[in-house]
Amino acid sequence: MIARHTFRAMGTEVELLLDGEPSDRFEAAEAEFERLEALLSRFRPDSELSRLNAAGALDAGPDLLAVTETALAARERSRGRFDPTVHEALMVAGYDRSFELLVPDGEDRTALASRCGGRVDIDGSHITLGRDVRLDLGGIAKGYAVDRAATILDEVGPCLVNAGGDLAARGGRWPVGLDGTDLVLELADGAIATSGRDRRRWRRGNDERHHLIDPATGRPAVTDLLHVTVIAPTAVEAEILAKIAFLGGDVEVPRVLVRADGTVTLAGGLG
Amino acid sequence: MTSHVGRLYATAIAILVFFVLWAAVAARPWKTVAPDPRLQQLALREQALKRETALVKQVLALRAKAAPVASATAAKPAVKVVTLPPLTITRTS
Repeated sequence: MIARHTFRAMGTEVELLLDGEPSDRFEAAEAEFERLEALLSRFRPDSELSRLNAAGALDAGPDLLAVTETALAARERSRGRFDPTVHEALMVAGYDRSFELLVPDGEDRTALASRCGGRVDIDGSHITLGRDVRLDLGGIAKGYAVDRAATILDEVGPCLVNAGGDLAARGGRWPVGLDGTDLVLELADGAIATSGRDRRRWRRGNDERHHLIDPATGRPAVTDLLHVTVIAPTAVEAEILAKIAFLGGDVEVPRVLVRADGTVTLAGGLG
Repeated sequence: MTSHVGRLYATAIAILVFFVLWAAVAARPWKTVAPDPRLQQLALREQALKRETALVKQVLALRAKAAPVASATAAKPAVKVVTLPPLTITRTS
């Protein structure tokens, strides 16, 4: 018998599935999501991330430190395709508040300059941002929360955590449908993340915008891909690789690429 | 005749000894040879590079310890395309 629990966190609907007696594990997993959102959201002015962005330097707690270090390591190995310093570019593109509150057709600010790839230094637990550098950890923070929640549920039995585009499964076999396709993937231990421009999009002026910034241009990425789904060992890793793949980077993992014309391509040994 | 030949030999030996001594003195064996400054710079650069290499390795090891993210070449998770009804749906984040 599979127990199910849903709640809302990090701007999305979160679904927990557990093959076993949940006891207090559902509440613990939900509390972990809320705790991490309170720390890592750029939309909460009192979050640890917002305080870092405001002050430019901070003695970070273990979660902010771990996510920031992971994001910077991903920036290095992807040669800048994945970049947590896209905060200003997102603001200029119009994503300046939680997506639910976003004005669908607001002021066009793209004439303002925005740059990515700014300096971030970590010395022990002290994080220092370069001048005019601010961090956005949105996607990777959600992947981190998914992995943490899966670890909490895993103590009881096989489980799955699904938070919008980030999903992790531990134990068991879980048939997972990919939205926008007819595909169903059976996932055992592992994670799935989907990055794309078919959601979280809005208009500014005459142009449509989306939240996936190409750090090379500082603007929403221009690509014929609609969305990319990646399967990796952890949700954090899947989130990183999905963004890299969407921006045209090479990744050597199972993946599904959906183009704007509806073409679906399976790659990386899938299918 | 004998003394004439002897004088020739003596002169030749004297000239030879003179040039050998000249060469020995010209080599200034009592002076220590100053090391080439370019070699010194190269040695210093090599030491600095070794220190930087050790530092980079240390930083990478710390990062790997702090953020154990599986690399793209890590073991792939078990996944396959099936025709089962889905238990849940994942979508773009």
